[in-house]
Amino acid sequence: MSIYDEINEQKLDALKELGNIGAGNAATAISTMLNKKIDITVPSAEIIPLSELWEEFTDPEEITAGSMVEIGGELHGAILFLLGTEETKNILELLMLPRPEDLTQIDEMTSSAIGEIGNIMCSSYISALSNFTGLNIHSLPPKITVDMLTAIVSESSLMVTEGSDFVILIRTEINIEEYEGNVKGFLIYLSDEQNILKLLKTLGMGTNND
Amino acid sequence: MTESKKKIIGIGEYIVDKNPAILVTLGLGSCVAVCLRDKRNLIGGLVHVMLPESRSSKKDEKIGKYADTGIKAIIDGIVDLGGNVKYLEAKIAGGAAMFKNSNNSLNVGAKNVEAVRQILKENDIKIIAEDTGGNRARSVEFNISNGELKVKKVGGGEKVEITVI
Repeated sequence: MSIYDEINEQKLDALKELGNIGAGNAATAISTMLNKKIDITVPSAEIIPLSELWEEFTDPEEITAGSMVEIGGELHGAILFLLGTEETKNILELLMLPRPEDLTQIDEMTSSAIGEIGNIMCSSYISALSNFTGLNIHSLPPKITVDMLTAIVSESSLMVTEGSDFVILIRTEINIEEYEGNVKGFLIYLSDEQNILKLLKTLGMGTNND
Repeated sequence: MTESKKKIIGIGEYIVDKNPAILVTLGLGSCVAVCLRDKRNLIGGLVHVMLPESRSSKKDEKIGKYADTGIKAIIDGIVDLGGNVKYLEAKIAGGAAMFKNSNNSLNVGAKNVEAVRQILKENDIKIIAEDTGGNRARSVEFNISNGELKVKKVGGGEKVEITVI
């Protein structure tokens, strides 16, 4: 059975729901922290061959700040929080931190601040998942990078899938109300096939339940 | 004058082609792009290597994923297109450690570069240029016509810099 049989449309819909719950929690956390209104879009859940990841982006070389938080415990995977350079600087400003001139040459403090923002979003996501599924999972310390978009998603996917051919992406867009329009970021839940099936099983969607 | 069409491959894939062709791959973090070119017959190949060596236990069709099977695949492919191994030269790029705060005791990037060097050495293919290691991701474009390897990498000033090696 191919991965596309194991994880059918119905299961992808269930994953979108999970994405909604996770992202919703993350949005609430950051909304409180920034004292701003946050909107999230309906998540998309997809199975993507690693070899086709580069096709997912309109601007694969867009310089992006990425915080990756890995999931440990009964489930393995990662949450990636992606934000463009201008948006990242704007958020740092909202947090009353000095606005960095150049994100590609940042100091420890700015790097930590970006990591903290990512940490809050990703940990809230994982926390919601844990509560909803009953699985004993926790978040690991965030890993930060400012680099080309495709590379960040590819590298994170490689770390999560450890060499298998497919990655499952549950993707949500986050919009943060800000003085000059919206700050737009992305929250992506990354998983390999094995862990997604484990997750689905806790929702009562095991392979026997079709 | 016709512009060579860029042919893009993804993670774990490989491609071989004759002149004129520009072979491209994006998002090299810990992965390594191995570019081989028969400089006499102008036939070349590109492989986007993910891991140092194939695991014999798993029957894997994606031979481009591994340094050993991937490099072999492009050597064989170049020969199939009429190329000659004695004229082969290599250029490599990638093998970075992208994430800060990374407990990177594994350092796949460095292992990939090592494995690639080893395999090329075993095949008597000289690495004539490289851009490896560091903390930055890379995208590459390999021109079969003149052997130029364009490496794109984020530099200071929030810009993507292009280096030609």
